[in-house]
Amino acid sequence: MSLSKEKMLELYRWLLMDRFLDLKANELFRMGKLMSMYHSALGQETVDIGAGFALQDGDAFLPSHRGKGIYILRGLDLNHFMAGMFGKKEGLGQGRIPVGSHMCGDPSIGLVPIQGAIGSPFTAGVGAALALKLQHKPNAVLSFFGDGGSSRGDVHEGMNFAAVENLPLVMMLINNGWSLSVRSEFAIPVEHISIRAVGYGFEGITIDGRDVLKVYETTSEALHKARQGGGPTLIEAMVDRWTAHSANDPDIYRTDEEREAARKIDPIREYEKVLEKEKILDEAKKEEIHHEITRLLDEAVAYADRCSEPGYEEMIHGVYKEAG
Amino acid sequence: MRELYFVEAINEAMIEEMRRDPTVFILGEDIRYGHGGGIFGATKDMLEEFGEERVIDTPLSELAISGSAAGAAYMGMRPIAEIMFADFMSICHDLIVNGASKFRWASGGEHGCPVVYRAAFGAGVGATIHHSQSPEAWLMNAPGLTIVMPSTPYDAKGLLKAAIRYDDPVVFLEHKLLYRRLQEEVPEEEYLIPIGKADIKKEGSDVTVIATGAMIHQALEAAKLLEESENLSVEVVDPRTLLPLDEETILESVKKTGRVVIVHEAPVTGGYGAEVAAVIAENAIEYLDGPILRVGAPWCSVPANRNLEREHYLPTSSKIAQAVKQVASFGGGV
Repeated sequence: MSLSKEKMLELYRWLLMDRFLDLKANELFRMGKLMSMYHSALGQETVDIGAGFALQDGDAFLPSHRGKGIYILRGLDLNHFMAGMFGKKEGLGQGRIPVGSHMCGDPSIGLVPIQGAIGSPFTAGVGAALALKLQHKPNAVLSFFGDGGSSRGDVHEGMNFAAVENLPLVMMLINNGWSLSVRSEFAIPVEHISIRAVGYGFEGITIDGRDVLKVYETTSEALHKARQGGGPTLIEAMVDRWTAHSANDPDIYRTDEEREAARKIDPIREYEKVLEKEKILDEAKKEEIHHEITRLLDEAVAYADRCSEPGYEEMIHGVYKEAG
Repeated sequence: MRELYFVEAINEAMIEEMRRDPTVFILGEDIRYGHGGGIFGATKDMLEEFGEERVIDTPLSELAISGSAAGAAYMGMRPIAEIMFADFMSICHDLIVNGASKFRWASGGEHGCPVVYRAAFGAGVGATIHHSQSPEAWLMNAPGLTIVMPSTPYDAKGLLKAAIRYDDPVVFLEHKLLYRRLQEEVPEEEYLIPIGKADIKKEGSDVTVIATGAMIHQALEAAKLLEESENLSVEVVDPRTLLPLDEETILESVKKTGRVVIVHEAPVTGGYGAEVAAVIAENAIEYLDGPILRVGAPWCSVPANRNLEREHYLPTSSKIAQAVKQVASFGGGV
């Protein structure tokens, strides 16, 4: 499951896309241009992208409410997505949904919409895996959730049902140690949530989510196993939450020391070191990729700016299937 | 023509649709072996014909049933999720009202979620407080959702087949009292009944009674009684699809009679009848001779005592007849 040098560079490119898209969203939110809620994925790009990079055509996935790069990685058009984040008429969702946070769906690329209540999408992911099984497809579902969501009752029901049905499901639990302002010690009575897998009879693994190659390899193996009929796997990826819960959160519950400690390791910088050591990346190449992604994002923002405001007509249709 | 019980019509509809379309499957509690195919027998013979893959006994997990059905529907399947008792729809609420019913709208009308949530509802069989309720009003305020409530075996079969082929989520409520008490002719040839179309169960000219589920039969009995004793001509309208409502058929009937009584099993306050009354008041108040009356359960829960349940809690034909007589006295009387 190891990657070629070319693929390793491609992975780096996607990590930067995720990071820069996130920083751009933060900037746009502060400018008042984003219509929707904004939950940053800074510092955990390695999980969203590392795991997403292991998906194959035909697989389905349910993103976390943070990572945005994975939507582009899996085939959504960046301009369309950006215009959607702006809430524009021509954009994804036509101004209806918080693009990049929740409710983006497209069955043609296996994207199952996630709901805004943390943990709620979990059973829908189990159902997507059930669909793949019943359709006898050689594919699997990658379902992201977090340590906060793991406390939900339907997550238990979903895990239990997925285990009983031996479904092709890989559960990617991003553990950043916080449920908004509540520390893990007040929400999770065990050190690692992966231990709960024992209770369902499937494998549970805890990994360093800041190590993108580890995330990619572990996810690849789990997806491979699931596609072969080997059943579900729970992967708990430990990360640091760099930012507040959301752009609306004043983050008053952490000390300056804690905020600083959370940012001590930059997982993307760590990956750059690996690439530099392997002579895959040098300053010139880095510069080139930075430029390319910045240009793509600037173009997307310019496109979104040019798009128009939706009106009543854009809001009211399509509640039910319409004729024609 | 052969006759079928209500539950047999449900069973036949599902079997026919599963034969026709390989993406249809069913999941729920105790549907394989319990009581020989569901605790009401609705899934009888399905395991034998379609096997364990398409007839899935689930753990006792309404959240997993409702959520996984929504996810599977989004990804190309047509699940029938059996929720054993409609009271348990409250457990499923999240994935139905925040998920399945919003998926199409969220995608700008493109991607639907063709799932049917079937559930046995209703009082009158001594099933008591948590196995007897009518939950339609709990679900009424959810754009994107469709609620179907058939009152006869013929309607049940045609509507369930249409619901399975429907491209958006449907909550399909089956009255458990009717399951094995009501038998009628059901053709063997295939037929569908369109979702969203009300049916006039009995024509009349003096008063319109709009009733749902098992209450249709109480309303028909009341109509017969009043015709014989009071020479009143009662029209009985069965909405069949409660959401979205067939306003046209209802308004047409009300405009004709000028008097209306709405009957349902759930408590009157905040009930489905309030919505119907509002639609009539907004669109046809100038045609009305008197107040819109509602007959439903009082503001309490379903009692265990048989007499309390049947005579005091549930609307009966005599309570409906009383309301009809009351409204008939307006507009110069009939």
